[in-house]
Amino acid sequence: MRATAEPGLEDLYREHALGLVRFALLLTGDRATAEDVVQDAFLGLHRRWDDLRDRDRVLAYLRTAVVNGTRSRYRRHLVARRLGSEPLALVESAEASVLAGEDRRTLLAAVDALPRRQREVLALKYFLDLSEQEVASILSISRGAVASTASRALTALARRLREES
Amino acid sequence: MTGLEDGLRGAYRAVTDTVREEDLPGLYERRARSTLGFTGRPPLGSTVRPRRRWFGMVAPLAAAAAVVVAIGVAVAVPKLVRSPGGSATSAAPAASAAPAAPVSAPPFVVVLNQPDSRVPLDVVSAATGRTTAKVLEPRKDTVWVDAEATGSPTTFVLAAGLLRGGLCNPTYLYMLTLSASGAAASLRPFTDPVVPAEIVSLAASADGRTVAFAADQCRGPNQEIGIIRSGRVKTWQEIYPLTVNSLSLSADGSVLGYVEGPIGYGHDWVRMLDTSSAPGNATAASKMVYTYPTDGRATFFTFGADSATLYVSWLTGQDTFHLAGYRVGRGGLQGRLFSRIMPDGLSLSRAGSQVLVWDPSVAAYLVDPVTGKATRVRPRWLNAWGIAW
Repeated sequence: MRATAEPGLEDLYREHALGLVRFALLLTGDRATAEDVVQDAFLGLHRRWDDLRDRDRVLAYLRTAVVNGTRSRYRRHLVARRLGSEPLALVESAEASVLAGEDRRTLLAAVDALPRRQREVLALKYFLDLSEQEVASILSISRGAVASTASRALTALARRLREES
Repeated sequence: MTGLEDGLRGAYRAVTDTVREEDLPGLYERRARSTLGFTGRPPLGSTVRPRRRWFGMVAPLAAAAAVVVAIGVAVAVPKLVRSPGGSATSAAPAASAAPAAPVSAPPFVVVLNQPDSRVPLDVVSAATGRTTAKVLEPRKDTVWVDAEATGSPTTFVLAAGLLRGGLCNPTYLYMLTLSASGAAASLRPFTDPVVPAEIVSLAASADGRTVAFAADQCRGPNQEIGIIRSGRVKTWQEIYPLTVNSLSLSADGSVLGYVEGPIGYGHDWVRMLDTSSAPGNATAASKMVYTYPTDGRATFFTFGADSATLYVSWLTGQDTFHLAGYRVGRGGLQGRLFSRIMPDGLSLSRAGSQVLVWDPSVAAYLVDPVTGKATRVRPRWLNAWGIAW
């Protein structure tokens, strides 16, 4: 790879890569895939650099690109799963298994079982601490849909945790 | 929910703290990795819930079973509603409801409350603010997720989503009919109520016999636009990265309008789909009729009562909300009807002949599209999940 990025791209990477990889990890469950997705998001940003009129929206663009990237990989994963019967693994890592207590493991397993959009909304809202309006903008859905999706997800989690206890 | 939300934040931190800055590759540094990602290791909670592989194998069977169950419920639910103490119940008027501003809008509002509320759905008198009916979800493990008004002030389409893990949760659709006083008269399922996925938008024709939905497909990132009419479902595919939002049906149900745009980039447009066209690719089957300003974002639209006028809205700058009318066929905006700072997001829908602009928890306005007069209403449902008026 050539280091011919526009000025500022590597600065942006240094500033935001960690948060974005962590966010992508929540969506993909796999560290290497998360890093891949984030690198691709930055390379996409590089390609669109001249078209981005509003530089204040770069981070929003990157977050959207990460969501899109995880969806694309998710589709490829589903194809592989159909062919090879891989199980889904959305939230996992050996380190996290050690760090997370039993309650957290139960909660994360419940999150893992949620539909994709609900997982995305929860991660955007409770990991990145974005407002419902920001989540709506990234996912291209209405703020009402964000609110209802988040509430539905929390209700499902609460119910599942009650069943587990 | 606070404890759960805190727990979620803590769990997310526990997972993500394992990624440290010093371990990250550089921007242009590729490292060896799985070609497909999703390495197939068991999920973190697999010792607690080792169901993934099982779910993958039986998902098609489960989906088929859901259809069968739903058809059964379609027969059973009317009996529930008719019987005393059934799922749809009329309520005594609430004692302490604050009256809403009197406006020339339909008489009843369906209010979707937060799902942990004791009553998930209220019917509220627009004139008095009093609750006239409370409606529980008719199926176990479902929650009301959307509601849509029809041309009749006493008929609404309701959607209930199944609270179940997994990739493909069906949505069940119902028709709620109110009495003249706003009491729940009946709650009937559609003859084929099952949308095999979670809907993201819902629309209904004036007679309520045609319902449109947009849903994420169970597999892959594409979406699906569907029409349910006379018990039959017809669908069109919306191909990623295009995405659908803000559906609206013409009064006779013959045309479905929707906002389309590449996900996340804010360059959106309104497309019209002839609902009698053959199923297939939604973009190919529809035509673009309006393009939003390129500096706009969070775009919405709804048909006017005459179905020839669109009401389009968008945000610019520091969350300034704009609403304008647009005549289909003649082209061109009819001028701004309304511009105001709406800091916390918005929702746009029709309330009879008026246009409702709703910024949840902040403000709601009824805009008369003829005069442009905006009436601020202060209902107690301001912080609801969703409403249909």
